Amino acid sequence: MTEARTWAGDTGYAAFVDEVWASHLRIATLLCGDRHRAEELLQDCLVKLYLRWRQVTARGDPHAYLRRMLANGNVSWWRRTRREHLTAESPEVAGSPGAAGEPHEELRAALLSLSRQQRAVVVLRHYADLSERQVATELGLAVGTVKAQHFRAMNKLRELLKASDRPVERTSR
Amino acid sequence: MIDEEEFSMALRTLAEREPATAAPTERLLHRGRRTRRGRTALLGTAALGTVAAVAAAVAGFGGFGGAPPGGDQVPVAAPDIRLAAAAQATAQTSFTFTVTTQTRTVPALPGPERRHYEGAYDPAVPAGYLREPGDPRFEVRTVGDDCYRRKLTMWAKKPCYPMTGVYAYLGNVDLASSAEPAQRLAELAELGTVTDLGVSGTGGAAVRRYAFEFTVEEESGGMPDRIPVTGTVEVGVDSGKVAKVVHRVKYLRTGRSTFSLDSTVTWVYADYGDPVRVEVPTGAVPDPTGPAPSPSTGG
Repeated sequence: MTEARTWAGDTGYAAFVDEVWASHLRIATLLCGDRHRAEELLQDCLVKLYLRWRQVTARGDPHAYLRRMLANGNVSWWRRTRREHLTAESPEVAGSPGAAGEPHEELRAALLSLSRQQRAVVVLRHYADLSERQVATELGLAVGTVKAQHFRAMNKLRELLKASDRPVERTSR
Repeated sequence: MIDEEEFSMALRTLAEREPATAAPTERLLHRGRRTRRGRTALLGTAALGTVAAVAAAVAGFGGFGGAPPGGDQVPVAAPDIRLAAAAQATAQTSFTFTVTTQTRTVPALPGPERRHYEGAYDPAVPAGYLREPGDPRFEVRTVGDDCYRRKLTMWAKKPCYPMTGVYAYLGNVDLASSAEPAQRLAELAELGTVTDLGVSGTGGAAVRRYAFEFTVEEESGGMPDRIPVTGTVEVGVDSGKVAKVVHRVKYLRTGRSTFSLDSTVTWVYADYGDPVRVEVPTGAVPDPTGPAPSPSTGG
């Protein structure tokens, strides 16, 4: 066995990784709230994608598949490790860089206050720019569930960002 | 008050604050290749994948090793088209199958050492099922793009996204991976030493037997550095399709290994081309726990 032997799908896979790394790292960072954890999650997901590359490209959209892996992986990782992080403060919030009170930090903290499923819905809906139906498909949820999660998430974000007295538009311009 | 469009813009601004880094493509390829080799040998769920490995090796992609006593070596330069075709032909038709696993470990793991499953699959629909006759509380079915999983008296429905069958497994046996050898052919091409053992049996029961062996280099903690995998494949002389696969992984606590394992998985295929009727379970409800356990945990 030789490590250097190249599989027929390697070229396409490598091109895909080069293309999507930056954009999906941003999605992973929004989901995880931590850049280092996001890189770890994205790498793990990309290795798993490598193992199924032929199937995924033959029958589906690898971008969608990767997004789904990220969302699921973030939840799974949290379930595996939450016992180690049972503190009064969310581990992601605790580990987030940046100065408190900065608009982007308030948005980041508000995002991390959502449940992981709500956060996945919000990130896919508003960052990946997917429709509610597409989000439902990618997360394996009913459309009604996505609508409900999105509604609750946006209400909570409104409350948090309103309470911070920092209009969200100030962070976007 | 958050306007949703403004929120989307704010989210993009937040995300793009992070500096871009170069994609670690080579590192990912290295990890993927290494993981692929380990999975191939150790998961023991890719019955026809093993056949595909044999086929690929015989077809000239793989290595060439010593024959067991009485065996004939298959020259790399003379690919055995029948075996390669058997993996493809079996994957393209419907069939029933049984899977028997026999696993002994030291220290012992919970659960019975021997388990037996039965199933069927028709790739044209696709539709199939997998169940354990000794424990009827659990069963999985796939119909079209949907997977159904029975736990006790309840049926849960989830998408088999994207038809990798990741939700259609019982124990260590995966329904769909048993039916898709083609995609694993390339994955396994670099593995294996293959020996043609000749024809045994007569008439309609005649099969051509092949022995295969390869070694997996595993770097994970607690596992030995090199794990030997051996097995046999039988191809029906008349049918030209896979009839039986025996896949054995055996190692003792050596090197960095913290335990010993002797696992044999046997697949028997039959009823090629017969209709496979699988009903959508009545009362199946979308799984309330959210997404299917894979792809994130599909491993």
